[in-house]
Amino acid sequence: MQKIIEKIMRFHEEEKGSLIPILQAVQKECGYISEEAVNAIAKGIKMSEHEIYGVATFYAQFRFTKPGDHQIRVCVGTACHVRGGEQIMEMVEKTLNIKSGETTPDSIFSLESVACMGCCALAPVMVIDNKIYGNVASPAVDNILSHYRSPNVEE
Amino acid sequence: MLTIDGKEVEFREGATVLEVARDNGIYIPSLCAHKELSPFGACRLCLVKVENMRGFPPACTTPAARGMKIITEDPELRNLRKNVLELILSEHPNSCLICDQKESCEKYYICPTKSGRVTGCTFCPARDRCELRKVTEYLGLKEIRIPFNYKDLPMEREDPFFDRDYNLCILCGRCVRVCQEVRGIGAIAFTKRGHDTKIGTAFGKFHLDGGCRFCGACVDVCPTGALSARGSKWHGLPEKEVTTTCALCSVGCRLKLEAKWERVMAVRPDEDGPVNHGQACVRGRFCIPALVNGAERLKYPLIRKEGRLVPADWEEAAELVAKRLGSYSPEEVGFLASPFLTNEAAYLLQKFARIGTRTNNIDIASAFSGPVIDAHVRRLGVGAGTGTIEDIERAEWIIVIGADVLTSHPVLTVSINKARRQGTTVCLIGPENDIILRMVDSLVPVQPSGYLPLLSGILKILVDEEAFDKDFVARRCTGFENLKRSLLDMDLEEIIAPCGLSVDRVKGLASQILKSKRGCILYGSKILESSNPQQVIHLLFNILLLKGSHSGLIPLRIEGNEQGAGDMGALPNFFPGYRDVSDKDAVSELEEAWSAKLPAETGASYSEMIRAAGRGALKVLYITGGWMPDQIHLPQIDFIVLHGIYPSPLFEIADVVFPSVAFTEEDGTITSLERRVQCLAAVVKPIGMALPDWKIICLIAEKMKVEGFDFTSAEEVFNEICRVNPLISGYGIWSPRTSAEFALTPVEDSVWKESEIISEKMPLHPLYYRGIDITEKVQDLKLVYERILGE
Repeated sequence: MQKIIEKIMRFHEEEKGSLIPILQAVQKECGYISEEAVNAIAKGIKMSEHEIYGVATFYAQFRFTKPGDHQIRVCVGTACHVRGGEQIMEMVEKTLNIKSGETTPDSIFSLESVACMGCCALAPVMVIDNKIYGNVASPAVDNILSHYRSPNVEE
Repeated sequence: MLTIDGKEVEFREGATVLEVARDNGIYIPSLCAHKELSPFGACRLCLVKVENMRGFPPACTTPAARGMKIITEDPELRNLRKNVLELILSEHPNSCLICDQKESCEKYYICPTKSGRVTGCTFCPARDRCELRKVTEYLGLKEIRIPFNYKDLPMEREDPFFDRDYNLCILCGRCVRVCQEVRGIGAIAFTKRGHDTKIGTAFGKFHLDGGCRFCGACVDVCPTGALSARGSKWHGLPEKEVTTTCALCSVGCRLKLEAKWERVMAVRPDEDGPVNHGQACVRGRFCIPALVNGAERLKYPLIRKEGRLVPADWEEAAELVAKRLGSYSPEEVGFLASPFLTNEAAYLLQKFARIGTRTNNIDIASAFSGPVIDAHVRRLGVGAGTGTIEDIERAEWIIVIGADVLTSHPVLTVSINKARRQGTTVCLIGPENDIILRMVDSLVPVQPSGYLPLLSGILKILVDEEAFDKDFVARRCTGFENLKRSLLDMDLEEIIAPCGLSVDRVKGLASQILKSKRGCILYGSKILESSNPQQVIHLLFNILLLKGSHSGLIPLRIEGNEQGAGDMGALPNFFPGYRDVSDKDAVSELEEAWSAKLPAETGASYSEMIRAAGRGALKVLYITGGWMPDQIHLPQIDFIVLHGIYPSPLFEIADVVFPSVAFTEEDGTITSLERRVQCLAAVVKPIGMALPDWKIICLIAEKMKVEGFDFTSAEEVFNEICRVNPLISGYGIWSPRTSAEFALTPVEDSVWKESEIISEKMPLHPLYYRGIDITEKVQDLKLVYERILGE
């Protein structure tokens, strides 16, 4: 982790103005912004870890928990909402026993809600990694998820 | 010139509309603006009308411009502000603010109920100071039409010293700004956004883990009850408030002490303090009540009878001490002056030692006594630095060496930070630390053993590259040729080898000094661990002189009045005003002033006295406090007198103990590290039968029938000091020197006598007050310091 961040910092000027590009690069490399990452950035650009965290949490693009192996995104945008997106979300939360924005303790799934995937005709939509599941019905959720639980599933 | 509410007024360039209004006595309600902070525009209450400007610009962020026509108050603005205030109050418990019964409730519910949750002003510890309440009253808000949304955030009480209830927070951002801008720490920030915005820390960690130094600046600027000092939040309004000077360290902060039931119960920094400007530190802000109110405070004199210390009255104890002191020859008696004594007490103690017992055996029990004071006297004629805190703010470069100034003198970092924001280069020679890393431009991790090599190297670069002020050196300095010669044969690489830095690094450091002129050097007690502290001071002074100024050297003294105790002559070799005891003129002048004969020989220093006591040459030790070795073993000594405010390990060997007072209980003066003489004012009466140190000395002198001690107030003593001490003429900063020439000293390998230092085990951090470990009286401080010192 430390090494990756040091490498990233080398490409950026050591000043406050480059904070967001640094955060983006860290998220791209590590998948999320960890506490260690914030500390390392703080040292590099002479800002307090709290200020950096403040900036990072302002933007929806940054995440602060380690993502799971499989990224579940449930759409709760207008069309999906009308077609029952909320219920799909509830079902996924219940099945995995985590809330939106969290990762399962076994690090297999992480869950987040999105506002629109751009395929409203398929509403309600759920996306796992890059595979789109359209017209999802609540009872089907368990089945879809179990497909990813076995270790041989590739992205 | 601009027009505000029809009045034509002048304004200062760069002022905001809000500042212009306030300067002209026009009140515009606002909650986020603060005079020490940059404009923010968060609360939107200061909206005004400006002709030819669209909408309603906030007064706090709109720069005043020539010809502006501003309206600060009309029905439309009033209505607008009420609406804004309603929005603010929709997320702040507001029932009491708009309640019909408010007046009678305030009248009969005078004590706030101690409730876990603040749901209205009645239960809020900040209600008497709440700015939100004042604004609500000013705007006459009677109704809030928006449904109330209680944020239901958990109370945060896990951290030391203050509670945080962010359900009361209005997100004005003052705390965040004061922490980042003024203190330079940044221990808190706005986190998340929109409805979820909250003042917090990275990943919600505890402040103790997040680098907070608990200076309390955030608490002081909070306009609501969101932040409150835990120790004093439920005491209600004080009965009296007295402004005095903090004696816990040498910065000289002015503090407002609040008292109730004859006890100090809370402290707030004084906004008019010439040094601190409304800032304080964890010790001054939070620790004073617990430190001075301890149940174990000494209340009556104690004398040893049949091996045990038993209570006695003043007459008996003073009589006994007078009798014993009178029965020894002068060289058998020694006095240790506490660096926390007031100027008056230190002055009378040395006067008593010199004319009462006719000895010069008197020294300050502190780190900088002895060699450090001597080094300054040799260079300047006085045992003091040449810099002031204003010099820090005016400097173009600052070197801090041998001190963790953020821990030892937190309020000074406010000045350093201010200078840095104006473009000053700050360099720290000392230990590495994350927070400090942010507060300086370069951090040079050099151990004390490397100070001399590093400074010699910097001097060599300055001289070799001719980057010194030739005019000043030619006009005001002597000894430049000697200095140059001493550097001539030295090889830069060889000199700096022991400090462990590369030549490039040292050159880089020197270049920061090379390019700018006026500088400031702060040195701390870690220089005592170098191979020759005196030489370190000489080299530092050389650097300043070469850069064209004699002022700017500041010794970071630890204790509250070490400077003053030295100025008052509580030293074995100097009379008041650093006049040498062998100086015939000084002797005759003082003999006349005091109408008594003075001892001729130089006295014994602290370490000499302790050694003499160990081998039986010293029979009587009069200790007024200060630091003593942990296991003091003095079997040969006959008689020990002690002044104290709490029981201490010295009780085991003391024969008489006098109960003295804390600085909150006496009048007098103390002198800060910048030579600023400031008043102490008694906030409360002394505890029990305790007396101020100067009165105790007068009492003994009276019993011994020594003339010249019939004072009835500290002011009378101070008047005598002003007459006798050529340096002191009143309050304020005394001038160290007006003379024309300064000596540059050559760089040489002079030998340092280890024994001159008072003890290698002497704690070099400011956790002691009159021999008491403050962390033992204040548990929370222990937590904070364990974390800081453990880093």
